[in-house]
Amino acid sequence: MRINERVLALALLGLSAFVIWEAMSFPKLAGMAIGPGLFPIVLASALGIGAVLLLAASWRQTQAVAFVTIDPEARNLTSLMRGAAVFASCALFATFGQALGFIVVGILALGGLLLAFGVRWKLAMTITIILVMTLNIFFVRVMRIPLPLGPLDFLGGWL
Amino acid sequence: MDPISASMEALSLLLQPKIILLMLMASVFGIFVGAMPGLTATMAIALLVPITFSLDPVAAFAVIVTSTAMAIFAGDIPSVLMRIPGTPASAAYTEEAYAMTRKGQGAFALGTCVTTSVIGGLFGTAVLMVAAPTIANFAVKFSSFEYLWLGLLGLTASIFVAGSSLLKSMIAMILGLLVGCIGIDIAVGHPRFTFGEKQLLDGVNFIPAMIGLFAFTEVLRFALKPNAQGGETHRADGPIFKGQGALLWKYRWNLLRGSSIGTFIGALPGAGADIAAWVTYGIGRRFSKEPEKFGTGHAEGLVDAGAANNAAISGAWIPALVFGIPGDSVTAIAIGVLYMKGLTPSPMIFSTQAPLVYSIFWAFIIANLMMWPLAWLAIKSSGKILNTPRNVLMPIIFLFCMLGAYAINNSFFDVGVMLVFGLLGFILEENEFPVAPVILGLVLGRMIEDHFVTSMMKASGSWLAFVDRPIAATLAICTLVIWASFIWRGLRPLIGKSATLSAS
Repeated sequence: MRINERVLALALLGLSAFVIWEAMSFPKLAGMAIGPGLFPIVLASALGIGAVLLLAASWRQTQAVAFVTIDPEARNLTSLMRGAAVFASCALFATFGQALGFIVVGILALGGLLLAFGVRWKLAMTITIILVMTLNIFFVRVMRIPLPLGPLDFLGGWL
Repeated sequence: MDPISASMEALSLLLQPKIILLMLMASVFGIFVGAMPGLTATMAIALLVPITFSLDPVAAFAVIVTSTAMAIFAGDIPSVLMRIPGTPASAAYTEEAYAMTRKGQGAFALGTCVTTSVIGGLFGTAVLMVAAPTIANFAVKFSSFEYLWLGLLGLTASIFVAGSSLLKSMIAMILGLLVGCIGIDIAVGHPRFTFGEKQLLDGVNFIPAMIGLFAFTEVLRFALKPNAQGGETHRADGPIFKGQGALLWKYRWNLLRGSSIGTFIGALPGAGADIAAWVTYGIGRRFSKEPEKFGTGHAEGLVDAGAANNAAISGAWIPALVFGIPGDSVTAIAIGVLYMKGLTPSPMIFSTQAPLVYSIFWAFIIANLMMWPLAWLAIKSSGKILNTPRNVLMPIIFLFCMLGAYAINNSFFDVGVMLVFGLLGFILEENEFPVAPVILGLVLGRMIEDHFVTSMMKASGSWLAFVDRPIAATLAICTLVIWASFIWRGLRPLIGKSATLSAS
C-alpha cells in the first residue's frame, strides 16, 4: 500500500505543526526558557524540515502517482479478509482480554485467525485448544505471570 | 587473598554437580525466553529472582549470568528465521540476518551469531576480570553532557543501520523520538501527549512497540500478500559452524572492535546490550570496505553487533560490582540479589568477597562455552518447529506476540500499543521508511531528553559547556563529523550537477 509521497509529506508536516502547537501550551520551569515543551518542539521542527525536504523531493518526480496504490496481490477479497482477521483478532485480544480472560479470547483470536488463513476447522480447533491451554498453564504455573480467566474464574484452582 | 587462589577457590565452588545442573536448566530457560518474541532477558532474570532466594550466592549468580547470556543469544533465532527479534538486543541486525536467511544462508547466519556471541562474551569477561575497577572509574566520570553526546551518537548510528534513504531514516528516527516524549515529563511532572489516557502517563513501552513494528507487520504482510517473500519463515538447514573460522578471520578487526565497544558500552550505566548492538552495527557499516552490501544479507554487520551485545552483558557487571550502579536492567536486578544475599557492591568487594566475584567471572566463561552445544541443539530444534506450514505457524506466532506484549506489564493496553505500532510499521515499510530507527528513537529518546534538559540547566545558556570536558568534546567531534558527512552526502549530487552545468 504505497501512499503518494506528497500526501505523506503533508501529513508529516501536519503532525509537526500539531506537536509544536500542543507543546507550546506546556508549562516552563520557573525563571528558565526550558521546560517540558522544549524537546518536542526541537524534534517537531526537525520533522517539519524533513517533511519539507520530502515534499521537495516528491515535487521533482515527473510521473503522476496515485493517492494510494494497493499491491495487486492484496486487492482480492481473500487477502483483504485475512488482513481484517489479523486486525480483528488483535483488537479482540486487546479489548476483551480482561473481561473474557485469556482462554476464551485466545481461542477466539487464534481459532479465528487459523480459519481465516485457510486451515481446516478440525485441525484449527485442535491446535487452538491445545496451544491456548498449554500457554495458560506455562505462564501461570511456571512463569508466574497471572493471566485473567474471565468467566472461567471458578476454574482458577485447576488452570 | 591473592587473585589466583581466589580464582581457583571460585572455580572449585562453581564446578559442583548441583551448580552445573542449575546452569544447564537456566540455559534452557534463557534460550526459551530469549527465543520468544516479547520476552526479554530482563524478564527471564526477574522471573528467576524468587528461585535465587533459596540458592547460595554462587549458585544464584551462576543462574543469573547463564540465563542472561543464553537469552541474549537466543533472541537471534527468531530474528534470523522469522525477522522477529526475540530480544531488543537483536533488533539492530534483524534485517541483515533475515536477508541472509532469504538468500539460503540462515544456518550460517545463526552460526555467526553463536560464534560471535561466545567470543564477545569471553572477551567481555576477560576485560571484566582484568580492568573492572579502572573501567568503572572511567564510566563514573560521565556527566549529562557525555551521556547526551553518546545518545546522539547512538541515534546517528541508527541512520547508518537503516540503509535506506537518509531522509526517510531520519524521519523514522524522529517519529520514534516523538513517541518517546509521550508521558509525564521528568522536569515538572507535566503529562505530555497523553490525551487523558492514564496508561500513557509512564510513556509508551518499547517492547510492545517493537513487537508491533517487526512481528505484526510481518503477519499482516503475510495475510495480505501470502506469496511475497516477506513473512516467510525458514529452516536453519545446512551446517551451522562450517566456514565460520574463515569469516571470523576475514572480519577479525570487526570482531575485536565489536567486543571492545560492546564491553565499554555495557560498562556505562543504563546503556545495555541493545544500544551496544545498534552502535557497533552502525560503526561496522560506516567503516566497512563494502558498505553497499549492508542490508542485503552481509555477515560483516552480524560479526560486529553479535559480538557487542554479548560483550556488553559482562561489561554491565563492572559498575554494578564496583559501585552498585547498574550497567543495564539485568544488573539492576542482580544488584538487588547482591543486597539480598547480604553483599554490598563496592571496590572492596574484590578483596572481601573475592571468591564470589571470581565465581561470577567463571560463570560467564562456563556459560559462554556451554552456549556452543546448547545453541546448536536450539537451532536444530527451531528448524523442526519452523517447518510447519506458514498459514498455521503465522497465527501461532501472532498469539505468542500478543501474549508477549501483554506479559511485559500484565496489561492488555500494551496489546493495543502493539496493534497501533504494527499499523504504523506496515505503512512505513510499504513506503520504504525503515522501522529500526523508530525503535532506537523510542529507546534513547527519554535518556537523551533527560540529559539534554539537565545539561541545558547546568550550562545556563553557555553552549561551550557541552564540549567543555575532554570526553564530551571527543564524543561531540565524532558525532559532528558523522553529521557533516551526512550533509556532504546530501549536497554532493547538487554540487556535481552545478559543476557539470557550468562546464557545459
